[in-house]
Amino acid sequence: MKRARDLPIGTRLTLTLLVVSGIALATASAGFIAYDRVSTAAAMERRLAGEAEIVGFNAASAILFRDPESAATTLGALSADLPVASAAIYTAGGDLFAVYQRDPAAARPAPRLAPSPGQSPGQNDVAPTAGNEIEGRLLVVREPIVFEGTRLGTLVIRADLSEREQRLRRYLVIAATVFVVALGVGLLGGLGLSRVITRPLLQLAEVARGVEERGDFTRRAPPLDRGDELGLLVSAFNSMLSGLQQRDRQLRDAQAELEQRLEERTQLYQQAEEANRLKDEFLATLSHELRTPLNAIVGWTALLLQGGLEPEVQARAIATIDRNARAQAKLVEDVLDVSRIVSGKLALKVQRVDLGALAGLAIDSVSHAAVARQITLALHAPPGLPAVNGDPDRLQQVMWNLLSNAIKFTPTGGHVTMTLSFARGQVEMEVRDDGAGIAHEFLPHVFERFRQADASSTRTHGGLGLGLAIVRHLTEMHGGTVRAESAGVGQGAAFTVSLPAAAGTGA
Amino acid sequence: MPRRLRPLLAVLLPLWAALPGAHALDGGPEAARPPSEYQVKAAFLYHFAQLVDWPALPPPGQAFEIGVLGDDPFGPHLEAALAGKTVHERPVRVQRYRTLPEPSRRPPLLFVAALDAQEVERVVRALGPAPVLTVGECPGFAGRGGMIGFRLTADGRVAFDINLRQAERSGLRMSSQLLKLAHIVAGP
Repeated sequence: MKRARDLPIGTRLTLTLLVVSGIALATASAGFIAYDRVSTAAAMERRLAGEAEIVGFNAASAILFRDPESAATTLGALSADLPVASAAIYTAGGDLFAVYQRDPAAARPAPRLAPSPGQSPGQNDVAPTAGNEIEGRLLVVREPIVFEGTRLGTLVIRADLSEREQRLRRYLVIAATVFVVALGVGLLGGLGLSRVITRPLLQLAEVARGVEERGDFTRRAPPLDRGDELGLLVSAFNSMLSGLQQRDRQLRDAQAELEQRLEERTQLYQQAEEANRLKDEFLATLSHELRTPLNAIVGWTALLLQGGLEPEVQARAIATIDRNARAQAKLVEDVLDVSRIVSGKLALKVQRVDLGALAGLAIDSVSHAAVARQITLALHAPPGLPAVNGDPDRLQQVMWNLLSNAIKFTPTGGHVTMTLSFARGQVEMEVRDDGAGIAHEFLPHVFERFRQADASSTRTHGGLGLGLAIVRHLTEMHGGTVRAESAGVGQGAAFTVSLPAAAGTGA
Repeated sequence: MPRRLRPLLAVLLPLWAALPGAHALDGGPEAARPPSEYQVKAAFLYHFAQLVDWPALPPPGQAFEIGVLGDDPFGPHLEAALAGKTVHERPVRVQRYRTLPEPSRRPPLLFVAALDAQEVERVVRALGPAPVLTVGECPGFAGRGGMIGFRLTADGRVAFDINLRQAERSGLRMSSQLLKLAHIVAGP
């Protein structure tokens, strides 16, 4: 069983409407019927009394002259539209004098007049014995018949009140019909009301639920073009949703910004950590690289100081000391170069440079190392190559770094090829080897400082990992670019430097 | 005493005398036994006087005279019926005449006791259009110039005929209450 307050508003409105109109109708009908009953009864009594007076007057002479037939005729003249069941005239002595019956089959009036209350039997004066009483369904009207101050008799009219009952039934039928029609109208009105009130509320509730369940602040209740409370409610609800939507968007924006900042910070932190780690690695590598030639120098120097060495051993010792000292000097030079480049203190002595001649010199300077490891070194320099503007020492350093790097990572018996070319205003210098190659994931980092594919202390290749970084910095200082290609580990590698051709030169 | 009534009275009177207070019941509708013909007729005379309007009546305070011309058939019943009664606010008095009185002394209501038609016609002719209500019991009284004639119906009830033209000629106005109970007859 639903409680009344759990019912939908529309139903409650409809019910209220029905109950109120029902009560109003029932009250009005009851009042009307009661009034009608009383007033029709009173009207009938008045009419009957009036008729009784006339008939009594007309019947007086019939009593005077003892003419019951005439009296009966007079009684028969009672108004046909009155529901008279019977009329009787009694003499003053109470004997039945004349009778009229509308329905001959109905019971005849009593042969003697029962004395009215308050009238002693045989009383023969003008005392008012008029009086009406109800006998079952009959209204009994008693009218004294008086002539010239003498009481002649009594007229008794019995009116059938069943017509009043029929009238009541008719009224009840009409009232019931009106009731049903009114209830129907009330029902329709209630439905209309509920459509007007409930539907917007339901839509509002549905939107609210949608917002609650999905957090979708873009939803809006269908606007009502109404100035009433519901219209105000819907527009207030919608503007509240707009405010919520705006705040939600601001919140999301702020959150996204925070996340982005956090991401940036995290990246910076990782970069810093990476840089820190690279520096640690570099320091370890640097101290290792510096110490390795120093071991040879210190060892051979100690042997030389002891003396007594064979002359060829002595010469080899000196050569070894010299080579290691140079290598160490080269290391220090590289570190200084990087330091100068990073701090912007490196100055270029720019002039027109013939890369072909420079390439020849660079090949010559590394041919030693190549020969020692039986690596085939080749140079392809087409004639008429345009000159570039640059510092010849630094450009040669670029070439040398690339070539020695290639030789370092190329196994014995391998090939290193340097090719010069010119295209679209750029002089290109490619150094290609068929050596160790570069892992795909390491390829983007080859030009970074302190980067080495193998940072372990047991690595096979020495060096500080500064060569390619220096190459990139020097190339960029000349307005050029450098790129690395490799199909993968063991597939060889190619480094290409592009430099803008000097103005007024070229093909 | 009227000749017709005598045999009846001879039977009834001893009975009445035997009943205590029998006279108190005279003329009243509540009589314990049916009233006699002349009791009824006496009451009717009184009611005729009540239901007829005369063009002129003696001044108020004087008696309303009911005359009986000839042999009085009523006996004591007329006085009994009229005792203490008034007509048109005048006390009723009964006066018996042997002959038709002088015109100046003629009563407004005259019961013509004669049973002979010629005698009746003579009286009526003598009265002419005088405002005298003539009542009689001679057969065909109203048809012979009388105004109201008593008659007995087949079941023994007292009824009456009215010669309306004669009454109107005399300036008497009869109540419709009276007319509706009467048999209206034509007459000279």
